[in-house]
Amino acid sequence: MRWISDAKRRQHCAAACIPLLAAAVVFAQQPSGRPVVAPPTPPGTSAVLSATPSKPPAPVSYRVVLDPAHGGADPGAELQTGLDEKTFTLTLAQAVAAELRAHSIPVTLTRTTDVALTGGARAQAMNLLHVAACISLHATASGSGVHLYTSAQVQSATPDGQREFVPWRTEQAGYVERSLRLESEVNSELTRAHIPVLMGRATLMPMESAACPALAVEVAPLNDGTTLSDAKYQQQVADALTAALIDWSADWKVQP
Amino acid sequence: MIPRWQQIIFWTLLLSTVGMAAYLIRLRSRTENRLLAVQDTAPVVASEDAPNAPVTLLIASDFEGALLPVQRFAPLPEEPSARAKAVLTALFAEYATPESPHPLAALTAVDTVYLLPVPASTPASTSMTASGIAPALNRATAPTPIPAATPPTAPTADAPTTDVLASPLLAVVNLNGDFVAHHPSGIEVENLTLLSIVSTLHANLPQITRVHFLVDGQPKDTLAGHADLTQDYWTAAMPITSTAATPEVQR
Repeated sequence: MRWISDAKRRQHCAAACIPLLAAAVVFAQQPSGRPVVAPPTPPGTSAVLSATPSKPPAPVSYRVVLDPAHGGADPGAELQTGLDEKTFTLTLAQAVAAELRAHSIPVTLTRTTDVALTGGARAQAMNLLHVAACISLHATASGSGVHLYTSAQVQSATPDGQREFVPWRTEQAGYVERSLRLESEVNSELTRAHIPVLMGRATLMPMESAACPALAVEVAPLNDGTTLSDAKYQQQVADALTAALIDWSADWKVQP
Repeated sequence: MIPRWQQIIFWTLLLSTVGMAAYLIRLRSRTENRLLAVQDTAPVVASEDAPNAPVTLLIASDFEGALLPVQRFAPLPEEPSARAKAVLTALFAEYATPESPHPLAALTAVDTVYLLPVPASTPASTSMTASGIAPALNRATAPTPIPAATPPTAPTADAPTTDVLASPLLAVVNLNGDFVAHHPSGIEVENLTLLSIVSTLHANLPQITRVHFLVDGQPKDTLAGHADLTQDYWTAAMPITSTAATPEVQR
């Protein structure tokens, strides 16, 4: 015995399925936070777009990402005999992180051990946390003092909250002005510590893909013969960076 | 017994096949000769008996973080690509000296320089600005450096006036892999090398508005771990950089 005919069954099924389909379509169109993550492509690929929702969530609390450059099979520059850039940057990052945590400022390091990370993976770590500052740490045997670099991109005319799709390599364009203000804070503290500073613009990964105020800090020896292995010099740089990031915690919400 | 008409068709087809094979062999030979002729016209090294001419070198200084203009004399061929390579050879000869403010290994730095018309579509379609020229390296104590985005010096009096220089040019600089392997590593030192190349090319051949770098003929991500080689470097003459570079220079 049939309770309902086939035609009736089809009608009931359609009546139940249409609202479900509509709900699924509406759900799929909802912004899903801020999924600015690294696409699974090799570093250097610029054609991939990252989805930026119409209203990205602002960082709710002050958090800093420190990115010790290089690592693993990539030692970076050989600063002096027995000291590679990857080791120096990790030591400096851990020193700054310890000082910031002592001031109750949450810090995330892109790496805490000697591992290799791609530029995309570093940017992904920065972007997923919605942080207030992203600092990439480098070191070199050339030049003197500390070199500060911000992205060479031009500040995007469109507010970052209104950009629909952003090429992965131009994510920083929405944050250039804030990055310059962060650079200014770091410059002030380094100058206060009597460390010579050189400021410039450059195209660097992961900075170009960072959806946060981002800065590359490159530490070089001093003109007076002070080397990068000098513990006092390292502490001076770490103190200045910590002080700048403490200052930035009071200023980062001010829109340019 | 094979009919006569089938024999005629067979021999006709056979002759046609042999004829087409001969024609294909002839075509292949002509194409090969044409390709070889193109290779023969590739840029050549600067001739030592080329006349000495003034050349403006934008010398990088690691301690100043700036480019400083220096006038030198070097043999400059008339052919634009060879001239560009000769200019860069003179530049890297300066860096190989012991007193260089930007010491680099005394190795052949540039294998070849190719000059091509700038593609019309790229500049406005990207928000990336002059990644090379735009970085305004400055420091309060720097003694009147020439900012990288400053309009270049006037071309030398005997600058070539061939048709290839009548429009904006893309210079493809093919760096030597051995030189790149020995290049010091660091954001500043690598950027200064690239800026020095781009600015020196533009100062001596103002029609060069864009520079692309290869290493041993292949694309490479960075020069020595930091400076980006995946993107082109623009000079200040391009519209996209004139608006972008100015405020950065004034920082």
